[in-house]
Amino acid sequence: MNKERLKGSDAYQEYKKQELIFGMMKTFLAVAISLGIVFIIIAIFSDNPIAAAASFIGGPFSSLRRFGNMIEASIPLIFTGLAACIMFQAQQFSLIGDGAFYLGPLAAIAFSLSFPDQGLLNTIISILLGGIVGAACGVFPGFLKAKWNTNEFVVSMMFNYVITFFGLYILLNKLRDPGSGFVASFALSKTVRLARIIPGTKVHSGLFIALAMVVLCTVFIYRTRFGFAIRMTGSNIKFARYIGVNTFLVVFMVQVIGGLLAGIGGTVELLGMYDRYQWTATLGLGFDGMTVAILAANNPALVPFGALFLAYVRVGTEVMARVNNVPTETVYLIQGFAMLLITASGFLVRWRHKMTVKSAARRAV
Amino acid sequence: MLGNLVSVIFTTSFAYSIFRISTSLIYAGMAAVLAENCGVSNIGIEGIMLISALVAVIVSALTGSAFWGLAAAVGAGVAVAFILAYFIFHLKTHFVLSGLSINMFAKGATILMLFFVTGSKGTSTTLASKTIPDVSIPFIKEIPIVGKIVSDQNILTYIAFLITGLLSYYLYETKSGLRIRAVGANPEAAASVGVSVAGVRYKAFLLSGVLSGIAGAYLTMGYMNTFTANMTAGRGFIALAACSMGHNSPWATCFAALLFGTADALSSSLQTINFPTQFVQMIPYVITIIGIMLYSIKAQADQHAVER
Amino acid sequence: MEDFILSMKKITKIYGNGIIANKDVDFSVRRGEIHALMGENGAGKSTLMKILFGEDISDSGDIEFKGKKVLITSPTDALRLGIGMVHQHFMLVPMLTVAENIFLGMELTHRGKLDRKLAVEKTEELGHTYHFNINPNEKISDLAVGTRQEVEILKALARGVDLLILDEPTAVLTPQETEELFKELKLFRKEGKTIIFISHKLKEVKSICDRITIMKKGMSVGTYELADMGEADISRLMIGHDVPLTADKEKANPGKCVLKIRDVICREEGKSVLNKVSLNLRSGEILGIAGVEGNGQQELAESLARLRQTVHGSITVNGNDITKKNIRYVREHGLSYLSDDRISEGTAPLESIEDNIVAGKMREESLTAGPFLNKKAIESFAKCQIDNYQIVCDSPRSPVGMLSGGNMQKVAVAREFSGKPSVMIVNQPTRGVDVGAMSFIHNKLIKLRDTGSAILLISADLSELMNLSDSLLVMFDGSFTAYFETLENISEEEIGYYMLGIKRQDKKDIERRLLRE
Repeated sequence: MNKERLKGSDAYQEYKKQELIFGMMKTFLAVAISLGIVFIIIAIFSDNPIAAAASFIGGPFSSLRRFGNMIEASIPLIFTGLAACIMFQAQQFSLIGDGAFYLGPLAAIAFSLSFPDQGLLNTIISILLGGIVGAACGVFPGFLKAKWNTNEFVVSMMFNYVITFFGLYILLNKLRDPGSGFVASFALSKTVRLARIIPGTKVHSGLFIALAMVVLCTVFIYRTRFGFAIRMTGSNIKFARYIGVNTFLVVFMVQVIGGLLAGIGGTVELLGMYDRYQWTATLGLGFDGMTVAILAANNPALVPFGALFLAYVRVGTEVMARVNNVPTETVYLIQGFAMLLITASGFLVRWRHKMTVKSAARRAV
Repeated sequence: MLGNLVSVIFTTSFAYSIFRISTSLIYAGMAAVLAENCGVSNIGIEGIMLISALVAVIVSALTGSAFWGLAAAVGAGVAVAFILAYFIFHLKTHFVLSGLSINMFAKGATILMLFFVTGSKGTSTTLASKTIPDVSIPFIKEIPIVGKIVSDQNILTYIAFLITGLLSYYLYETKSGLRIRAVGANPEAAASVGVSVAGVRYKAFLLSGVLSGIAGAYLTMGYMNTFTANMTAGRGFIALAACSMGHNSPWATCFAALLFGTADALSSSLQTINFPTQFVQMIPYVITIIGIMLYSIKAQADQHAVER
Repeated sequence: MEDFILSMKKITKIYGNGIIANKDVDFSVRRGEIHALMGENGAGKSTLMKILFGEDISDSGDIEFKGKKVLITSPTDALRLGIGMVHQHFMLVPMLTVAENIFLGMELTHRGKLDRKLAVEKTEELGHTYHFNINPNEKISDLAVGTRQEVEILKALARGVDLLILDEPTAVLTPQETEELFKELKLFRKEGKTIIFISHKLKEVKSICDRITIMKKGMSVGTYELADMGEADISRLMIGHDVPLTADKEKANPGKCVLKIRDVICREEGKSVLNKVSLNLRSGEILGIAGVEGNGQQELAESLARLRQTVHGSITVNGNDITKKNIRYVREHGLSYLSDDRISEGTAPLESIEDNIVAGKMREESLTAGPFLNKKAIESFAKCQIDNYQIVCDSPRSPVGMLSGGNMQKVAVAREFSGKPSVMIVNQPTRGVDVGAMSFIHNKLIKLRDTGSAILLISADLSELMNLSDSLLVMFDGSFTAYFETLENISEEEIGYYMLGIKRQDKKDIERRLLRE
């Protein structure tokens, strides 16, 4: 081993560490600015801005129930965040997670209600089924992109509308419980639903499933052959093809896998937090998943942190809204702004790398 | 049922409604065309439209003037487009993610603004907002059949076609348009001769903002006269699809926009004759998907023909 | 008193990650001379020219042009002063016409509308003045490479430049076209224009240039009159040790035939770009393919590597028919391909050196454990190759894009050669690569041949081909127009005639000799 050639590696480690800290600081800065905007809004709407701000920042920690809300909100975000991560790793910007999250649990509940066993087996199969249906949602946009290079963003967005209308039709005409006051399906039996794990909150065992998925996805992306293929495809698709990667399969599968994760996420959310299927529109979790993936820098291992942060912001806003007459829609404003600022800071680091590549191209003389 | 269908579609009022419904899409489509030609898609058209739609209502109510409502809407469109452009071209954020952020931001901001001004979180019916008038064209409206379709449309509808023509001229016959296309095709080449790539892209995006602003204003001042939460309903994205199908060129995109407008009109008509609602509502989106699918199949076949 | 049109003084440029590109560089050019600028990759000449043309800004130092101190912050500034640059990778918009490209940035308008007629007229005028034969209305995408370069030069001339920087201008030209270009350059010189000529080609530099500045490791090693310098002197100054200009090569000992191509036809837009091409390639030999770019070599390489589909004919490797197989199959059955474009195809610049080296080897049991990657094995394999190929880098995990051109190419070479392929297709292996790395790669190629690989060497660099090939094919207009079993008595000029289609051997005769072996 030639030490001389690698003696620079200490300097390199230093440099990498600096970059990491630099990157994190920028993210924090972006977050701080977004929160700053929040306070301005609070000041406009509220008679007592300081109390409002306090309830936003401290809200999620002000009681066990609210803390629980934060954890509960983060669970579905982990699933859709993972889905977005996997798709982003292959540079596919698909929103199919949204539709999969909506349709998967619908199929699951249709199954669950009619299956003789109403215990653990039912739960397990329901979740798997939700995942499979979610994966099936990803097949269409995934195939179109792989085969004909059809813009996955537009197709998945349009397809989500189709899925939602279709699901709504099924809900209204096949699964609807006439006895229920609002639009909802028949009720799930308690034994199928996921158990609560923290007394005093609604936090359910879906959390464990979510974390298990985080581990699986991390290993998948960084430690498996197909994960390597995905990363190369996302990094330089021409290169991936050139070395023999089946890019058709990669581009297709990442949307299927994304749909799978989102479908499981939706089903877990249903079985953990609700006793009936009552969604008449998508929850917009596909977009939220993208936000989480950005926060996590496309790294599945960091998704729980991104998800938790977003959940924190959500719950904080809810608390603030309830207590201080600030509309809950503020959260979209914050999220949009935060996402904008965070991608800016995150990409400043990536951009530096791209500039490196560009200068390599120019230095090719 | 088929008889019913035919009697609904083959009427002048149906044809009339196509133009009425497509107007917003045409402006949004032109906004998309401008951005695509400079090399970066404007994913934020949806959000810009939404914000402009609300601004139009508020300002026209406050000032009592439709003109100022429209002007403010355009101003808002430019402002938001500027912010988006700043993030993409200055801070180098990814154009898809920035666009989506703007859309999300718009979703929250519009409801907040609505609430602030009217106290309602759903609609702006309490505001006495102004509308942009329809125009009755003297000779044309006497012509049988054609007259009923072409005359008495909204001013903005007529202007939409004018804008399409102007944009076509702008892109292909002016220095500015040539630079936009050059920057979109090969930014390095343009930079090497001293064209400011960022400058050209900013300009394209700001113009895109103007057109998105008009698209939004039309929704609340021509098509309807109130603002409802999330009323754009994906039109900004359908505009992107139309632009894809139209090969980034103004007239072809206009035609694609009309196609989608037709699908939308169809879905409304079908609802009156008892098709199951959800399947009817799906129609515009299904047609969009089929449209893009066919377009990309063709594009790839062309590519393969080149290699044959 | 010397009349310097350009004087760059104490130019220093340090990049964000600490790399010193230029350090206190002094560079002066006399009015009306053709001044060569040479140096290995990473030596700093590209950076220096970028600073001169305003594509980059120095951290310190001054530029004096035509006697006055100037500040150049963009290509617009440079052009306004009269400094133009013809890049190695052309800066043209393919879908626009010649006239549109030439006048981009200074478009001619008539009452707000583009004046197309005037632009065409002026382009024709320019063409006549400088003896270029081009059609202003043709789209760039329809033009041959040599013609595109002419458009690039016209672009600069149209802006009235007095100092023209040419970056590797002959990389894509035949010997004859190079002659044409040199005639042009002499004309420019006669008209008082000054030229900075960046090149790796020692012979050309010696033939056309007046003086030479050599750069090494970010600094100027000095400026010399070329009349006083021999090729060995120049290379010694550039690298610091005598790089043998001819590779160390023993005579080939070819074995049995491992690659058989029969009657392959490849079409593009209805036109045949490969016209019933056939050849036999034996293990242990290097078969070179010469030709002006665009005569089918690229298509041949891509067809073999399965990056392109053929419509007729067959290709067999070690008896396996690979004509319709996919890339993975072909790579797993003994064929490797070194791409000519390391930046957009041959590497993933944002990924680590390690990942780039093991890419494509996912089926190898030594590097994987079932569906999982064997991290330790991968790390040690990569380190071994970095050592073996003397790749200069900070760490195996640094992104490939941060390496110099020569080192980037070595990464690609390491990956492709390490598979010990039966058939190795090599496409422009040392384009844009410094002399040191070039020589290294040449030696590795010969070693590969000696271990029994059959090598197909496609290159636009005729001296490289002459140096390395055991036998040579010339490709013209999609077919082979000459075959030389040995290169012992053939000159570059002679080969040039075949490359341009001026001479042709009999096709049946070629096939008889080529396919007999």
